[in-house]
Amino acid sequence: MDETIVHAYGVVAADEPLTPFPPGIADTTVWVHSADSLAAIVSLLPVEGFGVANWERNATNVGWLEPVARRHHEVLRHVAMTAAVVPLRLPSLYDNLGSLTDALREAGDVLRRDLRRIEGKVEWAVKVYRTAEAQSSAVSTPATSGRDYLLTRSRDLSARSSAQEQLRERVREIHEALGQLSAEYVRNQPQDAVLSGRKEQMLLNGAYLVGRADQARFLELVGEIADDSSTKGLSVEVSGPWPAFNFTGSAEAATTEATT
Amino acid sequence: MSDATEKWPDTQVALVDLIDRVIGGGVVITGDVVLGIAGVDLVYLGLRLVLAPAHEVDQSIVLGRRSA
Repeated sequence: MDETIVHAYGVVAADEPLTPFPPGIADTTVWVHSADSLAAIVSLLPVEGFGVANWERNATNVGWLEPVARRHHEVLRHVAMTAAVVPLRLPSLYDNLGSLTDALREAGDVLRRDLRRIEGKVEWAVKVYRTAEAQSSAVSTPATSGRDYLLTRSRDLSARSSAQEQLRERVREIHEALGQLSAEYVRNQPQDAVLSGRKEQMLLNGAYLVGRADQARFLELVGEIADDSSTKGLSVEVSGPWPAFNFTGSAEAATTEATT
Repeated sequence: MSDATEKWPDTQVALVDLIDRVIGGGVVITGDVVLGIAGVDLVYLGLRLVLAPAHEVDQSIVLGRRSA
């Protein structure tokens, strides 16, 4: 058999009952490697194609990276449907199962703490965009004199900045309202238009750690917010459930504000 | 396409959302494989090179990504 390397997707409690896994990266078979009270979800990848050299060579090669990232996520998403799983960040490679066991033991306390943190919860994402209509509104009629022009322009500017401030305040309220239904919540940097392919300005890029039993209520609230007249000029989008990528791995519980 | 991928179709997740999470989030546990790459920043750079021409976005926005 060709030389292989261990890819680890995520970590669960060793006694966690799991259903059959979807195929791993490169259609490899996914299984569980236990170490003490923890278990890593793994598959063996050919070094030729997925080793360290490939990662170094392909770090900016989306054609290579995207299928790896998608399959990593799909395996985690599947496990997260029924179990608490700590997702591992890519690249997540180990020379052999012995070195993975060592890594699990070394990080045992952190992993067990994260498992407790996300037990019975999943991550939802809510994004709020400023719609195109809202961005182009508040333009006055053409001025007829220089003085008119200056007055109109000054009024336009202050109307725009006040409208912008109102939108920002509304977005803060939305984030807080969703946070009230969440165990933890975090406001990430807005994604930029190049990567998202979206022309509208992103005003909120929020992640919410929601109890499994609270998901229906959470989604109901998202719907209410999207339908509310006070969110005119805003479009609200929800995605999930995600494995808890935003609520694992940091030393402290997530906070609510990020700089924008 | 293999039998396996037909049985387990991938969800349609936006690439940027995926990358934000699998490379920008989650947990790192120390292995003995150490990569000589800067991780997420390099990947974002690669994404920009691929996506920017398609979206025709102002270069100043491209260069301003994640400078905070």
